[in-house]
Amino acid sequence: MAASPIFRMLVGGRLRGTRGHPVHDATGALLGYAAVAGPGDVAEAVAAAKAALPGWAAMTADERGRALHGVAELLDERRDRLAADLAAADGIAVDAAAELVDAAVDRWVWYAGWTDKIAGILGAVHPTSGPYVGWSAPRPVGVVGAVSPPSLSALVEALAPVLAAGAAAVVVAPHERPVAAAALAEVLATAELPAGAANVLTGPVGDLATRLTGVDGLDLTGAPDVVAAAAGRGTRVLAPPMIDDPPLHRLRAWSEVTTVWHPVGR
Amino acid sequence: MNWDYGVAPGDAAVAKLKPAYSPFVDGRYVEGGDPLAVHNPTTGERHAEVAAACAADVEHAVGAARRAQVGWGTLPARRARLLFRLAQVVDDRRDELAALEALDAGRPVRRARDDLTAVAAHVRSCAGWADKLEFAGFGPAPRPVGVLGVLVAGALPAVARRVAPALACGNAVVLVPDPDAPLGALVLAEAAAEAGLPNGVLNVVPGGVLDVDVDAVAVTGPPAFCRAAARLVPGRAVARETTGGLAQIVHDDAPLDQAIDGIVEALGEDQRVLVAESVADELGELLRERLARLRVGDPLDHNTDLGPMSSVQRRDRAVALATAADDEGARRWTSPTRLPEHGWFLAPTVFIDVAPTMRVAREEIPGPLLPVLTFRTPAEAVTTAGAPRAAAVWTDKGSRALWTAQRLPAGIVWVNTVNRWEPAAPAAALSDHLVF
Repeated sequence: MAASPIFRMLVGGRLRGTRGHPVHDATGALLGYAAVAGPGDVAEAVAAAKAALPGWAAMTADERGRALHGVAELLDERRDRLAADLAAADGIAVDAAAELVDAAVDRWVWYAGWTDKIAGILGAVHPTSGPYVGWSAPRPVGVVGAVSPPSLSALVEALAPVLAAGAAAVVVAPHERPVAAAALAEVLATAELPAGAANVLTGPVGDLATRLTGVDGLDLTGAPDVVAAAAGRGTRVLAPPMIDDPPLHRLRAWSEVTTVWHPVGR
Repeated sequence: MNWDYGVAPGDAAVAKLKPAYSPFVDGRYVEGGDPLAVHNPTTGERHAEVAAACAADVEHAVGAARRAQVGWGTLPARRARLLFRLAQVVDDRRDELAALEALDAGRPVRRARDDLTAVAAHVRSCAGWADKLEFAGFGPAPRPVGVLGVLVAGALPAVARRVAPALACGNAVVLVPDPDAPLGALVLAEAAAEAGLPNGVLNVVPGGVLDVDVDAVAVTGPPAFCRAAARLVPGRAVARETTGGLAQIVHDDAPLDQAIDGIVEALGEDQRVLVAESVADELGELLRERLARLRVGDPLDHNTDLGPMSSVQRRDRAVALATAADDEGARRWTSPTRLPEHGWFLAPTVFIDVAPTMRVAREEIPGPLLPVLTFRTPAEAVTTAGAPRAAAVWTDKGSRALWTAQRLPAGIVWVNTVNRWEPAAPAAALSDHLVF
């Protein structure tokens, strides 16, 4: 029998993790060990995201879309294995787990397609009451720190819209259920994204949420308890609940808008 | 100074040209009818045969499209994934398709390669729409039209601009490719099958007549082609995208070297140059100097700037138009560049003293002829330009560029650049008629 795997994290383009927290399946059998991130890992991930941001944001929308589509393809390639792992870990049927993976791939593809369209929806050319033309175009907010619930679908919502908007991400998920996060970490490690544009950590989310400092946006979907404390941090905060989330909510949340005026005349 | 370059021939074998092609229907090549000869415009010789689609083939294709469309139209997420893969296949086969465009349409391979990169990007962008059509401005739940007949006079970029959005919206397509260069479209259909698109979603019927039960027709090409094609399918909804009609407007403060680059980049297309009187002589001199240095020759050669025209008929029409310009009193300058002995080549030719009433100022220009008209004020430039389909405005002043752009009734206006196509820009900018 193979040795119990380590569910690893992704920081600055590299997978890392030691035998941290033991993870058991629904029957109590040992599945493997989750990496447990400490404050140093979070700081390193934020720094890596900051360093990757200019390069990622400067890529053309088509290039970003292509890179993100590559992530979806890689996720799709490991569909069966991931479905088996999720089924064992969560005690659900393999078929049901495979459907969750398919839905996650579809959702990732949906976000991948937005890279070159978001400007058309969030931007505008507006009339002016003078000899000017004015237009508004979205730009990425910067580095987004996200605390995500452990499910694959939640992790996709935490990561994909950030990347589609051209921002960089540090996502933290609970180490008690690391299977989906570790799968995404591995997929992102081999994808053609600039190292550090997407970072995935597993650990004690309540504690790590307070360590996500120096970021330009906070997604606290997976840590509702710390929302009140985050209110005074001067950072834009996306807080749960996610129920009836408007479809472009997250793309909008991770975009800023710049308006340009230009004179018109002979 | 010696401006000669060595020959750097690309490899014709890269194009994987086959001796015989046939209609691509329901996911495979079918037998087809009488063979149409396909010529290599560089040699003027026949280099392949394409079996023309007969009435039965077109019916077969429409039937296959109708069956395939039912499933294709209802699976947006799957369409998105498969069209993303098609973009990937086009990227992977870029060199092959570019060489094929060079062999079949005479497009210089250097430019054809950029074209194919743009085709892949276009397919990718449309793939991204497939699963989010409710955001495309057609209401909350837009439905596909059904089976779409597509007629294109033009190379693969024009084909992709028509076919990719149609497929993304959940339509199935029966495509009649350009009779002068049908091979790229056939190989594109092959690539679609390779990417996993269901059989029957994209069918290509060279020489086919679309007088059958399609739900709508989309036509891309020069105005006369569009009018003729629309007449072939009376009673159908027709979306027309007219190509050509580029006005290059060079203001007196323009960066002239950049303007020359832009004019040369579009050489061979249906374009006119409008230049401010005060810089007309200087521009003319620079233009002649530059054109004289262009290499006209084998499009597979990486150093070639201008290839042959895609058909002998086009070449003959261009020659006739040049003669008419002479008769009407325009002054002609012909580039002294060496032309290959065989093939459908034409030397770059500039006409000055062109009046807006002359044929060369009004009609579609099928080759590397450059009528140059002059204007005195920006307002006169707009008047002289008339109603171009597209325009490139050359000026150092942003306000003047925008002023000119706002007054031209063109679908697309470039400022200090030309021929940039971005799939994310609204497609309506390219259409002159949309009748549904």
